[in-house]
Amino acid sequence: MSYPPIAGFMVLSAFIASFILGLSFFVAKLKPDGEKVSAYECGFDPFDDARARFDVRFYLVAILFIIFDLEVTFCFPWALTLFYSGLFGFYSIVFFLGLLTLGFVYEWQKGALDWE
Amino acid sequence: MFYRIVVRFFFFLFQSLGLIVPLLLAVAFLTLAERKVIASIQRRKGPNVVGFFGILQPLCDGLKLLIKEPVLPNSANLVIFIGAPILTFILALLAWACIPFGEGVVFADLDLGALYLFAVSSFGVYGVLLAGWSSNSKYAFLGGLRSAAQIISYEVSMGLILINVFLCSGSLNLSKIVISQQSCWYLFPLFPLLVIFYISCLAETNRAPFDLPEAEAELVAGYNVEYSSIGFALFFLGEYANMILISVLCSLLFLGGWLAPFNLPFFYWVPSSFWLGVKTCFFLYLFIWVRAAFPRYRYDQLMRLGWKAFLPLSLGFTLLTSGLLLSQGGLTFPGFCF
Amino acid sequence: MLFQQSILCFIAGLACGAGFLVISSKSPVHSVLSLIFSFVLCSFVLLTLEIDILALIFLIVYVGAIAILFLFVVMILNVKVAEARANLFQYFPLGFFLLSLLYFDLGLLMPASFSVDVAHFIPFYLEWPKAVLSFGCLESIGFLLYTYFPFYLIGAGLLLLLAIVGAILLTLHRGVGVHRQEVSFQNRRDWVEVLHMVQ
Repeated sequence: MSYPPIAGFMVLSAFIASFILGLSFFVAKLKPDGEKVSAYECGFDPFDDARARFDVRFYLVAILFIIFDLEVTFCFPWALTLFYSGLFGFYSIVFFLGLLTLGFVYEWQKGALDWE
Repeated sequence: MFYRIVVRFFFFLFQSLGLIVPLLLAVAFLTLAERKVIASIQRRKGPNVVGFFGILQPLCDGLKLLIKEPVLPNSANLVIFIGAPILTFILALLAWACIPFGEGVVFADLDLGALYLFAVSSFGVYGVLLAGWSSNSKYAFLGGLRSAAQIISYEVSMGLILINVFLCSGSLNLSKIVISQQSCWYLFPLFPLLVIFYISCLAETNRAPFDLPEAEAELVAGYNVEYSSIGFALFFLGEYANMILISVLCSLLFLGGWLAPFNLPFFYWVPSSFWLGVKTCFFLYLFIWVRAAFPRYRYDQLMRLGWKAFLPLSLGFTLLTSGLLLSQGGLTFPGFCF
Repeated sequence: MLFQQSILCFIAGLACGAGFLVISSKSPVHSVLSLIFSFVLCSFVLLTLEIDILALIFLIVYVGAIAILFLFVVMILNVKVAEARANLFQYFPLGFFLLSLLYFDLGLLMPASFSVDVAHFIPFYLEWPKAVLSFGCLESIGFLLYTYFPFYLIGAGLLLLLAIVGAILLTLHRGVGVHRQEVSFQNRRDWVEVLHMVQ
């Protein structure tokens, strides 16, 4: 197992990052005022809450990403053991990918991939 | 017993700092190299005041960023606002833990190294998304969402290309992937995939011509508009460390990593990590050259390139590669490839 | 061994705490973040059990894809917390029912349906140097999934196809009066037909 050193590495890098970040609060001169700490918006005061509702298309991109990410994940073990699973394994994944390609063609035809 | 634990601890510290410190130095000098190369492309001189040829410029920049005032916006969610750059920085360092620099020269020799890298790079979205959201500023929010959508769109084709490499090498261990290229670098059989992979990497690291999240003309600076001083510096360090990581990854997967280009006796006494450095510098130079030479993409074009061109192409190539390898008997047994 | 078990218990306890934070925190984004945290801790649990491939896949799929979707939804919809928190236990019976269903599935049905005769597992002929090599988790999954259980794979494919179609049917709307770039149309255009000499 070579994962414990990675956990240590993670702790160390977290320590370094917070150290650098904390250092700047000590080194630099802090002089906040109302204009400086308000959100940036081209000169005038911020209009309203920045977190407005957003285009649902981002949601569609995220869900398509999940699906294709799963497809890639299913391919990882297959790529390593294709030597053993042979032609049968090849055809089973071809069938699997074919189903997803069907979905892909559908979304292409529906225009879900066009960004306006 | 206690003595042994202390020795192991210091050994670990030495090992990890031996990875982190050179990495940060490399990032510093990469910024200098970028400014110099872009300056020469635009027929300017670039930074040349501080130190010989401006070689101390990055250190001065870092110092300047450190003594600037860290501004905490009053409408931000402070914990996430401070956490996001730290997260980006940690992830940028963490990915380096499984990169082999030579035969056996590796911090943690993971059997699933490439999968680990894929997982860590899929985490990278969070820094951007959380920074954009927690700043509570319109530009930052829009930039963060755009950047996240862009990163995840290109990750799929990167994953599919990785599968092609695994098919050829029969292993997920990065050292074994390099060693399996001893007879032939994957650059030659998989050249189109290298091109797609590299362009996806440009999009994945938010670099030009896909630097839409930072498009100055429309979004000011994108997700990190509210960050000043060292918070900005951490994002910057993370981004550049990711650039170097991606370049190393390209050379490990496709250009034979630390292997010498020709099997000449003369090359035997060149240290193997030298070759990795040369190949990495080549890809880094490409990053800078692309930034200087190409105009920025429009967002719809970017999405179309990712979903309508790269995804079907890499999917098709996966089937082609596996079919060819299967029919020609070129597959290797896992864990038994040499 | 005891050390490993205590680490395991510690991480699992942390994961439960993060899971509690998911339902107790006020802001939806914070609860998604604690959900992500509990996913990460779960993958640490899998790592301490030395099932590294499942841990990494857990990270890639759950943290790298599904949690991003949740975060997107919460950020895009901009859900404000206005609901009274009195009805926290309203869904308790339903949740309990689903949980018991899951445990029934995991405990009774799964082991029965996934049992493999070991004699079948040894591929075509026994070659000792290869048989001595130990396989990782990834190889074991690969050996079984694509040869012995391809129908599960195809079932997963069908589910994913359904997900694509459903997501598109639910969310797709085409804006009116928006300019789209059609590359094929641009490429088809002949300059002879387009350019006119103005006298």
